[in-house]
Amino acid sequence: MSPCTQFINFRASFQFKLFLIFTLLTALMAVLFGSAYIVTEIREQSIYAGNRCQLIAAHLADTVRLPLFAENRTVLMQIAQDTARTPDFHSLTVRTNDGRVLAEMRKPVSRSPSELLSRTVEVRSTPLGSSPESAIIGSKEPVGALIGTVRLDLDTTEFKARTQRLIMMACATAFLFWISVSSLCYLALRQVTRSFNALMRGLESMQTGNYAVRIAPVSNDEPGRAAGAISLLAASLQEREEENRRLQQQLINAMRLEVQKEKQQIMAKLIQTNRMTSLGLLASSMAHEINTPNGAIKLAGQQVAKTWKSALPILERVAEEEGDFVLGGAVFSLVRGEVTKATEVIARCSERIEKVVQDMRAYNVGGHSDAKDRVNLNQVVVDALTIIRAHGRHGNIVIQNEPYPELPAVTGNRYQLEQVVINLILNSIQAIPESRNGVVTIVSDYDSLHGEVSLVVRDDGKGIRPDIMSRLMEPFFSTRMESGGSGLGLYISNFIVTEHRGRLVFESEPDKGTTATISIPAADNGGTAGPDAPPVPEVV
Amino acid sequence: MRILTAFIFSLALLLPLAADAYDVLVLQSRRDPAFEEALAGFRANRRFSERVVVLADYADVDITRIVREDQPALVLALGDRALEAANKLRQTPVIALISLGIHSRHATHSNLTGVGMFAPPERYLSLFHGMKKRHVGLIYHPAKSGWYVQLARQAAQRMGIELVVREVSTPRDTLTQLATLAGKVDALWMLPDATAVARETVEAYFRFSQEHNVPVVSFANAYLGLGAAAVLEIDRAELGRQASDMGSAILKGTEASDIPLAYPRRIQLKTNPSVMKHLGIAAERAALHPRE
Repeated sequence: MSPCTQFINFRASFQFKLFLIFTLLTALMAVLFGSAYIVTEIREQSIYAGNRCQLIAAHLADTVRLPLFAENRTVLMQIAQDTARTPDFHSLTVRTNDGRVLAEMRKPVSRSPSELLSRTVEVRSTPLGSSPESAIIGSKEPVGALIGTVRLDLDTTEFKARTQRLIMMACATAFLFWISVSSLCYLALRQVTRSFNALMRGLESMQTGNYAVRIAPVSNDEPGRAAGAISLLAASLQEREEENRRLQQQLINAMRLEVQKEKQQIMAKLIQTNRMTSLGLLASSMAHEINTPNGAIKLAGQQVAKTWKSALPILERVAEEEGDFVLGGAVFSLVRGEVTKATEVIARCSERIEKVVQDMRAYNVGGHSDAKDRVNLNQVVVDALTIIRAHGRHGNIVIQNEPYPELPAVTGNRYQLEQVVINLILNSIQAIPESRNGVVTIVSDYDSLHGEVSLVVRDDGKGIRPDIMSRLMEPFFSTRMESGGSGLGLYISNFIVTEHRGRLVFESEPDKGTTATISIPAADNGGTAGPDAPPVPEVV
Repeated sequence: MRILTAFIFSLALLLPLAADAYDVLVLQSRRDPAFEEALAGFRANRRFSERVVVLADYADVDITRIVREDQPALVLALGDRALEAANKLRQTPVIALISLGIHSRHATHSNLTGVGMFAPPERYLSLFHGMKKRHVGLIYHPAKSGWYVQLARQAAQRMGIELVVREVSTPRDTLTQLATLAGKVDALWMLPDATAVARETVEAYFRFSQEHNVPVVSFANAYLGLGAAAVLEIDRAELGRQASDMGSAILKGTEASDIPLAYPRRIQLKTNPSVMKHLGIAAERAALHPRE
């Protein structure tokens, strides 16, 4: 710490302020008392000098009474010479009552009137003295008869010098008093504020966060007791701080574990997503590979059917003409029907393969998000069920489809809606424990009042706990993370339904099942489902 | 109605004047207990019809006119101012009391009589004799006290006392003359002489007494406090009674000129024991008493 900083700190300290106050008060008192002493002393000296001059003059008046009355100049001059021996004598003038100067004595030193202290005293006969008549009568005369005057001038230069010495002495005394008292005050303050300073040093150390410091008790005064209390408080704070640090470390460790776990889950999801992407690519590739030979099969089947159809009359004429004959290891009468059926099977199966491949490609590509087709939800359900069936995990679960007849179409992307329905059905299937049977019911409906088409997927599974109901739509939230859930299904489903200006609502009761309802406005033209929508209930 | 009221008022004022015929016009210098005391003595033996005029109460009083109008049988003058006021009276008898100037006026005023303020010189000389003082200093103004000093000299000569006298014409001379008495006297005699004893110089007598260790014998009690060893004080009531006797004689037809100035009949000796002791004359006090 630099000397300047030390000085600034000292100047701001309690000790310095107290010292300053004491010093100023002491200086003030010294000045006041010194001034009062000087003023009083000067006044007393002035009064004393005046009284002394008056007394000398009165004494002279008493002394010169008779010589003055007798106008004895010799005696008067002798008295004047005696008076001139007075140290501060300057001049003496003795006059008769008619103003004649009978005696005058003056020192050669010239003084201005301001440097002289003058007194003029009347010389009267003694008041006790009486004229014969008064003495006989016994009356007393108030004052004596005026004989003359005595004027005495005293030199005040010595008095002024004495006054100056007095002032200097008083100032020096006051200064020494101030210095002495200030020094004693400083020592006393140092002693008194010792415990206070120790307290402040301890507090400053604690201010920097060092709660390990302990303030040593200097004395048993208030700051000393406060220092003890603060030491206890610092110890308590230190314990709390260590506790907090420990808890914080535990929290950090827990968060690290949580983050690690989350990271692992996300990585698993990424891997799953990557795998699904790869699977999609594989499915697309497989569709292409299947579709090409299937096209050849279909074409060949059509060719075979066409050939068989054109060859059949010929063969029938041959059989009529020549009788039944063997064709391909069997008699013509049996083969004719079998081959016809076989061609039909080839055609139907190839069409089915084509359709499956087409659906697979459509599901994989997924993306006609901008498509605004008229979509019949009943058909969507049928297509979804086709895929669900392909998924295959619903051995002891009955899926009931209860389509609404003449269900109005909605405007949207049939593949996206199909994805929603698949998600909902899969969720319902997964909500039913594998150890028991279950029913998943799919019901479509139309609310003519609001012009909405609804689709309800209901299961009798384990239901959803109330604490996670509000989090169903959150991304990456799943109760089946461990079993491969991505936590994106319902998030995407809700997004798709919302994109179709609809809403997705869940109602659930633990151990009783869950009901998911999709409500989407019907198409403006109020079109009905196409002829391909089977209106009959279907049980899978 | 106003005229009637004025008439009654004037009558009420004039009737007392008509009845105000009196024997004695008392002229009193000022209101002072000493004059009242003497007047009381004057009234003690005989009740005179009188009118009292206190001169100090008026700025200017025409005594001549009062006497002419009132025609008193005699005038009693108390104090020097009263005697001065009665100075113009030539026919009406005047009895003067407590006046120092009575002796100087007596020669020129045949209608003036009274009692002087000087005790008989023998009394003083007896006192000095009792003190065993043989050289007595005395300062006087010849015009005022010369007659008395002459009598005193004669009496002193008879008693074997030397009077060392000094004449003064002004009070200022007293101090000088006093200085000349140093070493020549063993007692000082202070006369009721307004020149020899003035306010300005009275202190000098007692300073002289201190410096030269000589007793001062004076004439008034007031000087005892200043340092006088003894005084012969005149009894003022007795003065009044003396004047009353003179007045009675005048009213009976005696001319004032036939009544000489008298000495006070009753004189009291008073001493200052401390001064006497300091001056070493305490032992002689017993000797004083037989002559009182």
